[in-house]
Amino acid sequence: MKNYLLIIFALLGSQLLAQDNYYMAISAGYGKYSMNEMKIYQKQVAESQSSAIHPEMVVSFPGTMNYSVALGRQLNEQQRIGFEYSFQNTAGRNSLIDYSGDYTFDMLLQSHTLGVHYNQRLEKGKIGPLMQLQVGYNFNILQLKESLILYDEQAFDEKVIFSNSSIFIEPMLGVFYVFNQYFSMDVLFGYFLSTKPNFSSAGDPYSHLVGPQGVKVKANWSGLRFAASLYFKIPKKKSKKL
Amino acid sequence: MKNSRPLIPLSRFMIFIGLLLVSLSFQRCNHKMDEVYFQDIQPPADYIPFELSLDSAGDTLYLTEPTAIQVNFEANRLEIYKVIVYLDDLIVYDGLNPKPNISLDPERISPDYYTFSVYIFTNSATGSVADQVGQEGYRFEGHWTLAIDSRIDIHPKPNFTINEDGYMCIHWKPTDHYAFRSYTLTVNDANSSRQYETHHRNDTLIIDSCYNYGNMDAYTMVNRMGHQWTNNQSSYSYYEAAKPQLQFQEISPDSMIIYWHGGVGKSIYTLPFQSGYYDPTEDTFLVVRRPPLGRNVNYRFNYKPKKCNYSGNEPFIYQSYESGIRIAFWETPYAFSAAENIVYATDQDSLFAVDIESLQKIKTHIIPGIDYLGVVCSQYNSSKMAVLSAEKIHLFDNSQFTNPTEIQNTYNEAVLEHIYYTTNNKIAGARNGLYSLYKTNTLVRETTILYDRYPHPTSRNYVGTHRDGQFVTFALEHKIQHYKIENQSASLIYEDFTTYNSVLYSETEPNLIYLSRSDIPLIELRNAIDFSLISTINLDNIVVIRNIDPISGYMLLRRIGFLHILDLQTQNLILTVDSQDTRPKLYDSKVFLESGYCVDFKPFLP
Repeated sequence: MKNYLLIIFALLGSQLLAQDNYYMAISAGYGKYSMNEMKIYQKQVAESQSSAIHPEMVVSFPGTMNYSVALGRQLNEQQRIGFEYSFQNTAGRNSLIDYSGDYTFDMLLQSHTLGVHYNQRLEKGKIGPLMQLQVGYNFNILQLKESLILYDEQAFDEKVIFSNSSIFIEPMLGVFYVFNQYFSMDVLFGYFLSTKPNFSSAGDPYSHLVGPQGVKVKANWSGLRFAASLYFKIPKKKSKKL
Repeated sequence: MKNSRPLIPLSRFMIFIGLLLVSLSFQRCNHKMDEVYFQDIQPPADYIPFELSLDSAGDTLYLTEPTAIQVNFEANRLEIYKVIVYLDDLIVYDGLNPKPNISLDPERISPDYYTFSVYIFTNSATGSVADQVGQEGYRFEGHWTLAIDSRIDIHPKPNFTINEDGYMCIHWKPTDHYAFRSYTLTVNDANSSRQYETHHRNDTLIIDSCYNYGNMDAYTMVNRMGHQWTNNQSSYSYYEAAKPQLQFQEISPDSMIIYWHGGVGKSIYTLPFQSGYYDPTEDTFLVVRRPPLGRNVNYRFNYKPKKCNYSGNEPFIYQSYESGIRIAFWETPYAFSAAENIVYATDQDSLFAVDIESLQKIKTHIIPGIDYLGVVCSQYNSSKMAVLSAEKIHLFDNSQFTNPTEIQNTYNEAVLEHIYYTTNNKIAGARNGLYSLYKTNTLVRETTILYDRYPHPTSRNYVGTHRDGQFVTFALEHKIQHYKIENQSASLIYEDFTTYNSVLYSETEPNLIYLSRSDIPLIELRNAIDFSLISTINLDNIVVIRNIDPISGYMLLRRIGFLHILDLQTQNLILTVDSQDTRPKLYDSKVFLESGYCVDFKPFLP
């Protein structure tokens, strides 16, 4: 699914970039997530009585850097609209290592986001405030990797992938700075609000991932966002002189 | 224009590729997770203390009946993963109980030795990764030998042999019982009951040094482990042999050999006599002093096994020895008929004749009124004899005891102090100071003599009657009186006050009188016609003259405790033996005792 999103985004972008007044942006930011259900699941897994091993939670879905690329059209000097592909991820890890072996249970959570954003500069000039609103679609992937090495021999190594989809809305405020007619930069701060559907196993949308105590496992990407975006205005095509 | 047209698709494609690569590159930016949790713990010890045992089990368990074996396992803090119990290769328990109770029924298991193995798998309790996944832990194991055998009819039958040293060996076949603990051999004989115990399976030989004589039975018991006693019936074996039998052989007039057959093993024999014991001996004979004549001696003969330590009484037998051959019962008088070689004797109410050679009774005749201490006599050189009952004097022509002639016994007593059958067919009798002569053909008493009563009439021959009835002599306590009987009247022809204790007329020389002095050890020979002294015989002791053997011519003398045989030719005592008998007679070198016994001294006389 994520590949479809990327291809769709690339196709749209390539069509837009071939027109005038279009731009391309690359962003990097930091986000915090509301992964309570995931943390509970991680803890339950670690402490499950049915599990032979009781590891420690060493990583528990922290806030992470996220990245995006956007393509859009500059409607005028202050308004832009475009498509944006974002990638955000976080993870949890249960671990236990000693002289006898190495047990690792990794929960890698990825989100591939394809959205439409609207960017409004509130003032004209070289620098000024702006606001941005983005809505879109999330495709979430949860990869569970469990590995056990006993006395330097791989005793167990298994990977299971679950996925789900959600929609989001992300309002942001920030400031812009114009370097020249081609380059500008936005610095934004906002909140990412997402739905949190259940994970189902790949190939079987009706099977849900359930924790040891019967709790359905959900990923909630909602949380504060900070981002810095670098815009590059694609130059107009030169008019053919008659 | 031609040059610009390709630019657009090319730039779009390049943008597409670029965007795709940028987007894909984002996915390389996953959150890096280098964090791990390392717990610093030590590996488990190579060995930890534990306790794995079976209830009441030594190195070997013995199962002879259905049994529940309790496994006990203790090892602190360890978690049991698995418990497996094997009987050889057969799994008899597979579970998690660290203290399983294993029930085994020996009747369903072939008798044999088995290995009872207990394996217990636990964690290591270190909490390590491997420990948590059950890949690190301890294996505890215990192994016991299990002897299983439910057979109970297992007692081998003992056999008997005598070993080279002559001892009784009791042996049996070894048992193949797997729960063998020991053998108990029980031996019973007349002496004791004893038990032996051996504890090795092949230790099946017992040398029973406590057995020496008699019947014996023995049985073995195979004692099984876990059983104090074995209840089922054992098989007895019997060994039959005789107890010692004493044999007696007189080797001299006053000694004899007692001998017996040797027993099994070595024994110590003891034989008591009147005032003690002969020295214990391991030989099978003893030379002992011959008991007094006419006695029935009951010997207690002890035959103790030499090497036996049992504390019971010494085995013994009682066996009697009769010093002589019993031919009559008691207080028996004797008379001898040289014409028939017959000895006459009496019992109560009976008269019988005994052959002098064989000493067998050849004729018995019932005469009521014959009493103990009765009297009997026979006529010299004739087969005639007489016997007294209380009322009559019975006269017989021979030992056939037919057609007796009976004379009124004027004494009215069956017991006289003197009786003699004279060759002129008269019966002389004396009692209580009255001497009488009965004429046998007229059946009347024709002569009587009164004399002083003798104080000890039964032990002395104080009256002597001439063979032909012509003289009679009274050797009284303080005087001697000598009568001549002529024409049915008696006249005193000699008297003095010398003390004698017996008088005897010779039958072969009828006018020869033997007189024994009671004041000095002397026998006088006197002439019956004038009572003159012919000669004397000096002796060592004062004696009483009993009789002269009509066959050998020896004279029998008696003194208290002894009998002597005097060779009248040499005037030497040729035999002295112990005897308490008071009225013995000597016929054919055989002493006939008042006690009813006859002792043949012919082998010991010249």
